[in-house]
Amino acid sequence: MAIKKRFDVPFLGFGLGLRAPHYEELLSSSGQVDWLEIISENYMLDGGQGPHTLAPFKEKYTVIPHGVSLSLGSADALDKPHLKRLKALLSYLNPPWFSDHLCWAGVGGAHMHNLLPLPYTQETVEYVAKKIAIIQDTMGIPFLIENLSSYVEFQESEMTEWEFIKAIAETADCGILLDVNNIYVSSRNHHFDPMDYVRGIPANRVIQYHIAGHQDHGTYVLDSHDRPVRDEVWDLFAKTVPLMGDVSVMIERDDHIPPLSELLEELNHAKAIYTKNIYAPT
Amino acid sequence: MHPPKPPASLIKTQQWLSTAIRTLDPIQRELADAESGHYLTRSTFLDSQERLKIYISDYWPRCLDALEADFPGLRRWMGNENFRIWMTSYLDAYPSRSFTLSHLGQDLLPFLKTAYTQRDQAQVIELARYEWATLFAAFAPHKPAFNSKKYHQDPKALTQMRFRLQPHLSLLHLTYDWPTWISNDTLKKPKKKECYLAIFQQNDYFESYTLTKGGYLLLTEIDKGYPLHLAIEKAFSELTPKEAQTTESTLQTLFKDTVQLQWLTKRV
Repeated sequence: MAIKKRFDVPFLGFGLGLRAPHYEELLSSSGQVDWLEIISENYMLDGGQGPHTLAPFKEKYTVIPHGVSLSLGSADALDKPHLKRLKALLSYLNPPWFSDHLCWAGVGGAHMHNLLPLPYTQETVEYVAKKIAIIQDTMGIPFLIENLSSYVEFQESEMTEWEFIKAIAETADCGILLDVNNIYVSSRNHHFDPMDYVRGIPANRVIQYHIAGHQDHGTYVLDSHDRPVRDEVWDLFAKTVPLMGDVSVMIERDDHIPPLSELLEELNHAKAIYTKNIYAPT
Repeated sequence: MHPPKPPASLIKTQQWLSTAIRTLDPIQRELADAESGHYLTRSTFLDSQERLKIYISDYWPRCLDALEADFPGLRRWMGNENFRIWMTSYLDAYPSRSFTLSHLGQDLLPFLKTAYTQRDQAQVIELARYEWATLFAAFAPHKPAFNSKKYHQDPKALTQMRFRLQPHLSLLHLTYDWPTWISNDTLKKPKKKECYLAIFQQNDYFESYTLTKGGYLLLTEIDKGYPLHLAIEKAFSELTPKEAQTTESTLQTLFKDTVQLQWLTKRV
């Protein structure tokens, strides 16, 4: 199904996260990985490994910055020095978009170093949308919000998570990074049908996918990014693809990083599922 | 655009959850657990307290693992279990205030100075100071370096100048050979040995430079903002004749290296 996207951004194909054990292979290989995603904060320190260390990768790949600490939903104000550092990174990379999570990561100046969920209320929608508008105005390129995996839900929530994401994306006029594994994880933890979630997301705003592995603890599922993608997530991905149109795909692995060849196998699997299902009847 | 005002209920919820995840105080813990049902829903398999525990069991290992990676020497010196106990107290007293885990150890020295009152306090502080300096060197900013070329014809003007050392450079006076001990797992104890080091950033990593006592004192005085001629005077006043002789013979090399390694920045 052809879907006219809200933002005029390219389809990048199938990418991987840039991780240290793969630096050399990624620079010497060709054609196996279409694009790279970086953790923005790794290149936002005052000194040392700054954006300049990405130069050889930037020459060869489109590099997309993906953040973990904008803390969009925090009751604390946006961190201006942080935005300045992010702007410097974006200016250096000149990516077609950048992203961070729809979450909060700390309050009262203290950082939790985790991605914490928000109460799904109309008040929160309006608050977070205004912050996103400031970020987009400052950075001047499309911004994508990523759905979380979560382990708690708040009593005060007034809507479902997918209604919350849709409301924020439309109010702020931003894009969506749809993490298929996170939908699966949260569907198990909060007992909803993951396809209700997928169908509730505005397809014209979905620009990028994340796919990752998780751990099944029986009474809950943990988003761990430390193992191969499981079949149930591949199945959900296959069902999601025809509903969203052309969306760039990325495999995430942050822990127990395997040889690149193993991740390339997963990436090829993602490509096969995508190609098979992109024009499937919905 | 004006920064938006957060909803009152959001502030309250986030303050509660933040405390509920981090608190080690038994009374606060009990209260947070009792209040969890007010803030959080239950799932089919887990009640609100059990759901909260998933976040608690993520927060502490994540922070403690980061500190273990950053302070491997301190961990070895204290022993694994003792290290984690002290680092838990540290994080309780100084919660992270940075977006990056790289800064997690930034308040460790003030914490150890006040809270760690064990017999080996001096060694622990010295070791933590050394390890923090190696970390800090890798991520602190590098400012435009002083260019000495203009002053080759006018050395007198040079002696009147005031400098600052690069923010990433730490001057250390150690009484044990921690660098050798850290890099050699087979050594049971560090050798008692007085040494003076400059730890600084090079090629996005840290480098170590061995100084004489005079060189250490001189760079310390320079960083305080004394003009070069006064810094030299002050440094030499604290040296024995033998130390002064050693320093004098190495002074030229030190200046050359200091400029070449870009340690000096102009004081504004």
